[in-house]
Amino acid sequence: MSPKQYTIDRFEDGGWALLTGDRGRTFAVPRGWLPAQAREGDVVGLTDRDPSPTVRILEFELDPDARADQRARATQLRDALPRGPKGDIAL
Amino acid sequence: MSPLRLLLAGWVLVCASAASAQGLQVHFFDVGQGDAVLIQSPSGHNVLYDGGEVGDVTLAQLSAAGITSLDLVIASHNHADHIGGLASVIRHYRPRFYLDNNVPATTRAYQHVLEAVRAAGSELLEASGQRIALGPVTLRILSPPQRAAWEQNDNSVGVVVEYGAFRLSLGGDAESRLWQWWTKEFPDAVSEVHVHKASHHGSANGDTAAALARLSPEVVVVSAGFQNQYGHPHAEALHLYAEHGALVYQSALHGTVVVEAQDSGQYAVFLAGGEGARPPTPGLRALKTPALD
Repeated sequence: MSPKQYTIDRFEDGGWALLTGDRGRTFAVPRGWLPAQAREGDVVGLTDRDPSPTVRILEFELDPDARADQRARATQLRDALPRGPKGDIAL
Repeated sequence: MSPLRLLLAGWVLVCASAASAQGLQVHFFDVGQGDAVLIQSPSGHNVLYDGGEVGDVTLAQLSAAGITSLDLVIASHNHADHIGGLASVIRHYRPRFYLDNNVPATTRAYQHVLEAVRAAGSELLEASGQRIALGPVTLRILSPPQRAAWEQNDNSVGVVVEYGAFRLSLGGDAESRLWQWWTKEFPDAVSEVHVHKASHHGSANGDTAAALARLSPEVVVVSAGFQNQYGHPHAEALHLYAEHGALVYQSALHGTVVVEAQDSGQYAVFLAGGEGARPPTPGLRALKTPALD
């Protein structure tokens, strides 16, 4: 089964990392749970294993290709928006 | 009723009588951990600066404020606690314009906002240091450097709201290097204000001593969740505001905070109440009346 994917929305004070999923809602995990080189905007895959009834292992792995894909998708969406006037304007 | 509470009630009453005529209103909505600021010009134009994290919460605040239309939505930067609620707001109000920092995020929340902008038919405005006139009110846009190597906080879009002699500053989640950038690029805009929104929810890494010395706000509004896990506002930030003699209002303690201003520079602060409501955190100029200074 492929891992669930989340994006690192931001890092916050107190050692938290805020992750977002497909629905856009965020949840916080300790920053230390993520790979040390993780940075804002990275996409991480989450593997959730239960090797025994009393043990649960969450493993996050960076997915640089997914980050590039998401950035390209966002840029494409933004570039397609109609542009308003440049410079000073009066509404 | 305690003497302090009596004094606070009197302060609000005095200010209300000083600013009873129709003027500029700025609502710092209580949206929990996040920012959502409504700017209402006396000309009838409405602008939303950030949309909190949850659309239903922000929509309820806008509805409670009697808002039926938005002319412009500004996303300071693309973190979920600032744009998570914007997709719902944009789909509901279909603003004419949408302005962001032009630093795309890789989250689905950001894509949801762009999809909503497209569906609403809103036109995209690029942040370029421009002035946006809302009748007699002017928004000075403090554009960010748009450096991909900088994180979203330091690519925030700032706004200085000017209405005659009254000035109010909104800096998103700006940290020290963005304040330095703005001070260099927009020195006339980064200058004395009456009211300032605490940068990054009152984090120790938000407002700087140098920026506050230039802004010299009389009132600082902190928008942060009640007992949030990040410790916002931090003691260092509150100490900084106290050192500059600012009155501090917190959405977590006071609920939605509304500033009503006249073009003379007089203004009043109204509190909607909130969880654990109590008087503002005293600064060095605690319990003075800004409208009567």
